[in-house]
This record gives sequence, C-alpha cells and structure tokens, in this order.
Amino acid sequence: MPKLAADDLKKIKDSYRSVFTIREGGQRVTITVHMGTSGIAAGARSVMEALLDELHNSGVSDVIANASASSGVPGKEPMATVEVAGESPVTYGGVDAIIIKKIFREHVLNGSPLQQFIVAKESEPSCEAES
Amino acid sequence: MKTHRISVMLCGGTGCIASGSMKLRDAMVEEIKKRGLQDEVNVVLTGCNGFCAQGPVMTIYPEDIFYQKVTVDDIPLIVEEHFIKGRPVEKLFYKEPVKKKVIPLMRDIPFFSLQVLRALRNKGLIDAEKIDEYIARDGYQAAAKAITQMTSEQIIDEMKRSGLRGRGGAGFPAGLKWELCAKVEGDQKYILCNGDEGDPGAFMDRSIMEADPHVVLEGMLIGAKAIGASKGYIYVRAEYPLAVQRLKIAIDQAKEYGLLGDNILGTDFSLDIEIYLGAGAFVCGEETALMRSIEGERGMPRPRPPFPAQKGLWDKPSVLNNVETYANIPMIILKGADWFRSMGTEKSAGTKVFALSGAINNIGLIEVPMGIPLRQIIYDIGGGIPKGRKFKAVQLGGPSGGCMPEPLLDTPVTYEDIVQTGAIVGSGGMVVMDNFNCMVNVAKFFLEFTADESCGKCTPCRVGTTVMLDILTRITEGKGHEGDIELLQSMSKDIIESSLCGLGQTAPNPVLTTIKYFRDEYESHINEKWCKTGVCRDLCTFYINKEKCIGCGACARACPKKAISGEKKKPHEIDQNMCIQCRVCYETCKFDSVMIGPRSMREELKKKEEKEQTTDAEPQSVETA
Amino acid sequence: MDTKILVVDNDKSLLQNCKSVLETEGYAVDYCMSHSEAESLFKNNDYVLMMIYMPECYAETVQLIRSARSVRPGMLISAVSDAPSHGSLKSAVAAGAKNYLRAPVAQPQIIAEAKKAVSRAAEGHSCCSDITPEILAGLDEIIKNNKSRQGALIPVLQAAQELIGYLPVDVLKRVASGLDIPESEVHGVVSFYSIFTMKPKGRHNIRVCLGTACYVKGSEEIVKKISEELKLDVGGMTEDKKFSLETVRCLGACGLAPVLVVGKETFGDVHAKDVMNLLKQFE
Repeated sequence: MPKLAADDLKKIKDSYRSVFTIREGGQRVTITVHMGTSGIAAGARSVMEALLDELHNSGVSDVIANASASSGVPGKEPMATVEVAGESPVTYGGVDAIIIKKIFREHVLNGSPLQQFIVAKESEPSCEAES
Repeated sequence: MKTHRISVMLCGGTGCIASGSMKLRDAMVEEIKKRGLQDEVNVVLTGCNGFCAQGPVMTIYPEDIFYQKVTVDDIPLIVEEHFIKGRPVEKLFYKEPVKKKVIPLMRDIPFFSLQVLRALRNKGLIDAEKIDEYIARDGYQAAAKAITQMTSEQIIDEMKRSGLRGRGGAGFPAGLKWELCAKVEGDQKYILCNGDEGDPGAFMDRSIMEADPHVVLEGMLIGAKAIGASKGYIYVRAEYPLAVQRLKIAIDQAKEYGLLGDNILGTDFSLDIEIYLGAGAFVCGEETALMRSIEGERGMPRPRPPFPAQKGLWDKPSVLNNVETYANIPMIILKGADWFRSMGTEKSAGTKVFALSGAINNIGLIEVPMGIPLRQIIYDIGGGIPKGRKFKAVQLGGPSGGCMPEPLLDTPVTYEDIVQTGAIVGSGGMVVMDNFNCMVNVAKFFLEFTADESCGKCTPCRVGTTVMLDILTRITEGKGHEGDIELLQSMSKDIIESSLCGLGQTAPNPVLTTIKYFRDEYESHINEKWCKTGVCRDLCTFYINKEKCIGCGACARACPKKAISGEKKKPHEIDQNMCIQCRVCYETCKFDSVMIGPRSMREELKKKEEKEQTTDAEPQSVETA
Repeated sequence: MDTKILVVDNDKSLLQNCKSVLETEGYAVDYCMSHSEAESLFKNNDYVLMMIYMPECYAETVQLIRSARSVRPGMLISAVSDAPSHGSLKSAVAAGAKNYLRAPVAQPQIIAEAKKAVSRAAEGHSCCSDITPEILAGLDEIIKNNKSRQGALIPVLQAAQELIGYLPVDVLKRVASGLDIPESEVHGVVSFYSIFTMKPKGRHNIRVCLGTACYVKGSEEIVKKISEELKLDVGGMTEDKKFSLETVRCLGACGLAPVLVVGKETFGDVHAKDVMNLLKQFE
C-alpha cells in the first residue's frame, strides 16, 4: 500500500460514499421495491436485481435501493416507489427488469417520471396495511 | 465491490461477543450465501453498540431497524422475511420496559435518541478493523490538517479555547497540559494514552478502543504534533484483549498508509505508537504510576513537581491523556472550538460518555451533553429501575467517587456541580443502586478495593484504608459501636490530606458520601444491629408478614435450606433455626410479605417457635398474631 | 506416577546402597557413574532430585550441574562432597545446586533429601512436568527478543506467563539473569501486579468479576458458591488440577453483570444457583 498524501483521504472517502449513504442516510433518492410474498411471485426479485445492477453501473452514491413488504395492490405488482428528497413519492406498477432501468435513468437521474407506469402519487401505499 | 443495498451492523463488542455475536455472524453470512444475497447484503462486525444488556444486537440499514437478543435460530427468519421480503421481524424489536411499547427503529429508542454522539460518533457505523471505513467518516482529516496546516501554537490554542477537560477523572484542561509540555525543551518527548480503565463499573474506554481504535491514534497524532513528540505508548489493561487486538490492527493499518511512522503525509513529522499491556494494578491509572509501569517497574506514583510535562516517562517531557479525551480531539480540530463548546456548560464543555450499569433497565454506554440532570440519564435514557424496585443511590466516579441519593438527582452532570455533592464525575462509571442494596456494604466494597489496590507507598493510604475497612467490616458484622462513624470521618480527613496521589486522596469518598447521605443506615447497623436491606447476614432476621402472605409458596420453593413451610394459600413461616439469611425469599416474594427485622428478633422468634412446638403437642389451636 | 531420583557417583557400591535405601521408601531410582550417561538420563526422565558427587577435580561436574539446571529447572540438585573445598561448593551452587550434603551421607539424610525434593515440587515451587526444555527454549527466546527494549521486564513476564501459565521461582530467576535485573526487583514487580501469579493454574481458570456492577448483582455469592462446591480458595487450584479460581476487578462487561470468565470464554448474567451447572461443560 502506498503512503498516503493528504488528498488521498478524500479519495478513499469518496469511494465509500454509497456504503455510507446506506448507513448514515441523507440520500437524494430512495427507490423501494415492494417485495413480500405476492411481489416476489410477480417477479419483484428480478426487478431488485436489475435495479442493483443499474445502481452499480451508474456509479451514483446518493441513491439507495430498499425493499419493503408488498404494496397490497392486486394486479399492479411488481411495484416500486421512487422517493426524491423534498418531493412526494411516486409509485409505479407493473414494473419489470427493463422498466426499472428506465425509471432509474429517466426519473431518478433526469427528473422526469415515467407517466405511463405511475399507479399512485402523493402517499406511498402503507406498509402497515399488509398482512 | 458490488453496490449492496443492506448493511447489517452486528455488534462485536465484548458484551455482545460474550452473548454470542461471532456465531451469529457466521450463521448470517452462511444464510445470506445460501439465499444468493451475498452481493446485496453486507455484514459488518462493529465495535460496541453501547446497548450491552440487550445483546447480541444488530442494526439494519438503510431502515435503521434495531434487533436485540438475536439468536442463531432467528437468522433464517431475518434473511427470509426482512432481507428478501422486506418485512422486518417484529419479535426482535426493542420493547420499552415501562409501557411495553415496541420500537422498531434505533433512532426512536429513547436510549439512543437522547444521546449526542461525538466521542462515540463512529460507534456501530464502521467496521473497526477497516481503516478505510474510518477515513470514510472523515477520519484522519483532522490529523492531516494539524500536521500539514497548523502550528503547535494553533493546535494548542484551539484546544484551550475548546475547554476540553481530561475525561479520565481529574478533569484537567487538556490544552493546558499540552501547552506546559510544548514549552519544555527536549530532544525526546512522549505522547501517552491511558487505556488502563481501572474503575470498576466503567467501560467507555474499552468500547471506544474496540469500536473506533483509529480515533485514539488520530487524537494522539494531533497531540504529538502539538507537543513535539515522536514516540507514543497506549497503555491498555490486559483484561481488554479485544481492545488490544483492534488497536494492533489499527496501528498496522495506519503504518501501512503512512499515517504513523516516519514523514507522515510527506512532512517531516514522525510518530511511532506502541501498545503497552497493563498488568492489573489500579494505581497505574495515575499518570506518574503509569509511566513507572511502562518503564518496567512497580507502578508507584511520584511526587509532583516535577510534572510529567517536564519530567515524565524516562524523565522525558510527556503528556498523558485518556482514551475518551483523545476521541474528542479530531472533531475539535476539524470543526473548531466553538462547535465543541456548543454543547455542555461554560466550565464543562462538550459531551461525556457514561457507563450505565447496576439496577437500571437500560444498561449500556451512553454519551450525553454535559449539564444534563442525573434524573434524565437514569429515568429517560436508562429507563428507570427494574423489577418495580425503588431508586436508592447512583454511584459516580468509581472508588474515587461517591453515592448520590434521590434528592440530588436534579444535579446537572458537570465537573463543578458533581464535586459539590462529594462525588466526582470521574471517568464516567455510573452504577445505579436500588432499595435492595445496603449502603454500608457498598462503602465496604469500595474500601476493600482501595485497600487492596493501594500501592503501599504512603502509610496513611496503605494502613488507613485497611483500618477503615476493618471498621466497616466490624459494622457489617454487628460489632460496630458508638464513635465508629466519627472515627471513619476523621480518618478519612487524614488520608485525604496526607496521600501523595489521587488514589489515596479520593479513597475515602465512598465512605464519606454514604455517611453524609445514608447516615441512618450506619446508625441502624451500629445501634440496632439491623441491616434493613438484609444484605449483611449477621444483622437481620427474615420473617413473613402473615397478613400479607397469600401462601403462593414461591419463597418455599426458592429457599435453598427448605426453611419455609406452610399450607398452600395459607400464610407461610420461616424456621429461624434453619434460616441462613440468604435473602432469596425476600427477593422472590412478589407481595412484599417477607420482612426484615433486626438481629435480636431471631432469638425472640426462636423462643416463640419452641413455645409453639410445645403447644403443638396439644390439639391444634394456633392463633395468628 | 513414580517419583524419580537420579544419583551420580563414582563408587558403584555406594550407588547401589543409596538405590536400595530409596527404593524401600517407594522412589524410583536411576544411577550412573559417567557424566554423559547422567546427561542423557536427566534429559529423558523427569527427576525430582539429582544427588551428585563432587570429585576433587570438579570442573566437569559443575558443567553437568549447569546443564541439568537448564534442562530441568524444577529438579532439586544436591551436591555431595567429602572434603568440600570452598571452591567446589561455591561453583556447584553457582551452577544451580540447591543443597550440599557431606559425604558419607547417612541413610536418614538421603531419605530427608528425597522428601524435601518432593515437597518442593508439590509446592509448585517449581513443577517438573510443566517446564520442559522446549518451554525453557521459548522463555529464552522471549528474553532475547525483548532484551534491548526499554522497560522489557513486564512484557517479558507477561509473555512468560502466557507460555507457562504461571511464574515459578525458577522462571523469575531465569528472567532476572537474562535481563540483567536483580531477582528482588523481578519478584517485586511480579508481586505488585495482580495479573502475575506464582501459583499454577488449573486447566480451566475461572475468573469471577467483582466490579461494582457485578458486585451489586451478587457476584460475591458466586465466588462463595464455587469456593464451597469445588473446595478451593480464591487463588487456589482443585486437586485434580481441573479448575482454579480467581477474582478480577472489572472486566468492563458490566452490561452482562454478573460476569464470569472460564479460560477465554465470557459468561454473562450468571447466578450463584446456576454456576455449578455452567461449570459442568468443562472437562
């Protein structure tokens, strides 16, 4: 390992930014994939995997992926909710591996939600409602 | 490394390891692999989380879900339900002790939410064995700033303005200490760290060394730059093997990065740090004794002056600070003295870490702003007294400190306010005692400790503490007599005035404060031969209040001598000839019907029993008194 | 196990006599007349006592004593001489002999010497079986590695105790001479610090925490219970060498009070009534 110079400390810190966004919070965007038994049956796992791939490839460190219980909205699963700090959450339905990548690029990175997949806005479907 | 989505911060402090966290980690890693989640979930073994009694504990990010008392059997459930399906496992949530409310998030649990983390800012957030994670939390930036941009005077000025006082016990301003040493000419100076946390009931330094070892090294780097030291020692208790191991790893990593060793960060500043294992002598927490110990001698204090800043380790100018003091320093350098002063009071700036233990619901490590009232610590953070018992006293400052009673609970925790009560803030041990504790016995416990740990150099301390212990032992055995209290007080005064070091100067504090606040207990021990808590076996008689006893039989089942008898649902009775005063019945009874009387009562009851036995021979006609 | 004694002399009839005296007392006796034979005997056998005759030209014998001392530090060495010049006695003692017997040695004297050696070994003054040549080599290595270090004594003693389990007198002497520090000073340091012990420990060393938090939760009762049940005092060891008992000041695990450590394993929330059950798992 080479000896560090003062600037190297910042480089190390930057390389860990995404790790610490998960632990410390303060993220710009949270993308929640609704899992649960029904979500997974509808294919939420592949959505999550695609999302993590996309997150990794994009190299952004201020976006985190999260899992929650299923949304409880029948016929719309798999679902995902994008929550940009300071904005109201947007929930998408009928998401698959390709659509989640699109959501990530368009909504999360460019700020323009994919209107055709939105199922709910304002309030996120409540996790507590799930049985 | 792939981007993961879940961080499992599993506590790997001494407490949780003892409760099984290593097995948990293995089981967790294996289960995650089995479910193909190894790229998604990152399991990190952290240092002490602080909430030791709930161990093993873990926090799951990003949600901040806190799980307690986790067992290996819970692991598949956590992985399946929480990690895969996104449904946190409710049965492992924290339950609030009084209202039994379930609290899933760590930040909502009062034990955590009322704390202000500064010295412990990395606790539970980093892998203590990875320097990169420390650096990711702004680690070594303060040292870099001090080494590359600041002069010795600037560092000392910042430290003095911050008002940081030594966290080891005496509360001497750290900046002043550094200034004294910086002014002394010397070809070789030493920067020393006191990790010989000897106060029983104190474990904050252990936790810092285990959870965040690099912060200690960084604090020492800054101190070394300020005073001009090129060699450092960390003196750690041998009883803390995990802390030693983590510090060793940290030192090796820092050397590899060139943050320790020669020409640090490309400057001409060099520092080498070595770990020195203590060998189990409480007096070595005293700075001159600690230095003798590093020299390989008996750890006996030396008179001051000369102060260690002038003639310390191997007669070279040296500065010794405690672990927690060092842990505060990097943030002072990075954020400034004013930021530091934004918490705490004028004379006691910043925060203080306390080890909360004893008769309290939430046992563990806490960091609070100085000036917070004791009551808030005990009832809000600590969650009050368990088992429906009553608060009796809180012991602050270990064997050098004192016991504070209920009426003093509104005292703000600052160096200056606590000392007014006869106790001291000390290193931060806070042991809560309930109405089951005998204060004379507590005083005896501390005296036993100091009498044993006195190094023997000063006669008043060596002989005085032993004689005081003899008196206290006498009192607890029922051989106390009038004048004992006054004798203890006058001896205390002599020992305080004529001892060389802090050990002797403070050793009588536990006795003095218990006499001051619990004199009635001493008096009942001496005059009535009555220990009302039943701790001192020679001074009590256990009997059952027949009006209160419902005859549940719990005491009879618990009694190791089978001395309790009685019919079901009828009042029970204790056979005084068989009773060994173990107090188990008293602790077991849920209806407060086991009573404690003075010693003299035993004979009376025995006589009564004999009488009853003779009447028993005749047809049954026993009436209750 | 037999208690073994080695006798070295140049007179075979004397040797045979000595052997028969000791064997009637129940000791196992080896004897030899040559130094080389003696050397191989004490290298391969664990003797409590070596009685060795000092001839007029004693240089080689002194050499043998020195070698015996280093191979078997626990063994009592008694030099026997009929006309002890001041020189032979002094050299024998300097080389490591502890006692001197005037030849011819009478029968009761021989038996007394054997008894002395046995009780000395039993006292833990030095325990022959513990201190093997390998351990000695390890100790010498520790001394060598730390010799140049400032304040080396405490780290050396810590490492030695880690290696041997305790610090018998002979180890202290070896450390003293190795580091060139007076024996009194070494003993002073060992007796000052509570971590050092001159008594051997059991296979499982039990340490009960008597810190404040543990104390107020009844750890004293745990000590009493163990002490009663296993019939051993604090600082002592059970007869079968299975357990030894110590108390410690504070392990810093107050959250788990009362705490007890067996070997390197920590147990929290231990109570007097359950402690014996907990100890059952240790073989």
